Amino acid sequence: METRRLEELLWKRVDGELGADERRELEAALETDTGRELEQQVEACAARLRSLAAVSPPIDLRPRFERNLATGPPQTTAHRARWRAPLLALAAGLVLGVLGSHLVRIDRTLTSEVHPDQASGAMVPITVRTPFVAELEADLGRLEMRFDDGRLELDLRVEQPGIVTVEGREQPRLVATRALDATNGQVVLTDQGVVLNTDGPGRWIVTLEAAPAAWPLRVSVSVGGRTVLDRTLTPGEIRGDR
Amino acid sequence: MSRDHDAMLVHACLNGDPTAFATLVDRYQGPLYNATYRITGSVDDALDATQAAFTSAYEKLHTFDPSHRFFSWIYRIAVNQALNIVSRRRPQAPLDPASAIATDDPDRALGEAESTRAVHEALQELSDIHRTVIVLKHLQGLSYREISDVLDIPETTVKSRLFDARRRLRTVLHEQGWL
Repeated sequence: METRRLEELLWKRVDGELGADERRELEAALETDTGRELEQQVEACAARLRSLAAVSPPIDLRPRFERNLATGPPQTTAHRARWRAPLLALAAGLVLGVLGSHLVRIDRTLTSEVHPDQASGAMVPITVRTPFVAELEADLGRLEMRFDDGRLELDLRVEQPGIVTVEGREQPRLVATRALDATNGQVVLTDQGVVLNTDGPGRWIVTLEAAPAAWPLRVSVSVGGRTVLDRTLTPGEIRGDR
Repeated sequence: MSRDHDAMLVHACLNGDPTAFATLVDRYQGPLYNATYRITGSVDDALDATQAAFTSAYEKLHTFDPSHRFFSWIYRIAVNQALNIVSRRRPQAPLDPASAIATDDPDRALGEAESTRAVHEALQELSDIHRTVIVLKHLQGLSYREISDVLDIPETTVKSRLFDARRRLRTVLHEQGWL
């Protein structure tokens, strides 16, 4: 067997892609001294490559990247349209609880670093009046909603993985997400709303901007596949100034 | 699942979610930094290439076709950034392995064995295209198909290029007494 063919088979074996016929061909070739020597070299070379350790990126890589960004990504109607169909399908899947974790990781540090309001200062405070509070059925958790100055804050505490859907006539804009005493969750934007999918028990706070045209908002919460809250709300109900 | 997650994050970013792209950066900065480090042979160049890749991806995010994998797209951008850096550096003075190791070698900083550094240096002796395909296959663990997507070349070309690259690397290491 030619050396080139022998080495080709040896590397295929390293890759786990050797067929049955090729394996027999290789085994026959490895009866020779040349074959065994080349086998030793290829195996050693592969082992050397495996020994290269992963290096950690600098911890400030993301902050550096964020500092470099001057403008947001451009987008057009055409591009939005191209995204619509696959995203609707995905969002529907998520609402059904099909999708798993890590769509948007809700992370306190992450939020604090990239919050748009922090470009000019601290996070915009939300004036809390009397919020809309709903105890979820079967003691599965609690949802508070505060609304002021066009901003809607959802404060969800659940004992099990849950899904919160907020839909309006127009899509609310996601401002910030925070996880408190929780691991992570995901936020998905659909054409009409926002879906928060928690991965486990904990507390999540999601801040949205809801334009007047978006109201009323329909808020639903499901925990463990069971709907435990389904309400249509106006700004007045959430502010508590009915 | 990861493909769908990435697509959702890209969509969220295009719709103004400031956290979405940061999540993608968190997810891919490690693999991209490692790939660009092994391609460029320098931590500084790897940092530049990785940053430039994320910046370029962010600015061109609206051009990303969601029918393709974000993973392949961002890898392609990063690999091209790394190769551009290497090609710009080449007309200048050749890299001095001794000084490079002293100041710019995480393997040494990590206390890795001499042989590990030898492999890293042997990689730098390969051509750019050979080094790249080895990095993607052996260090990043990509399949032939994924390498094909990242480099935008046919799978058959990936296989032949990978064979030549490995053969060259084996020869270099053998000549240096490491095999």
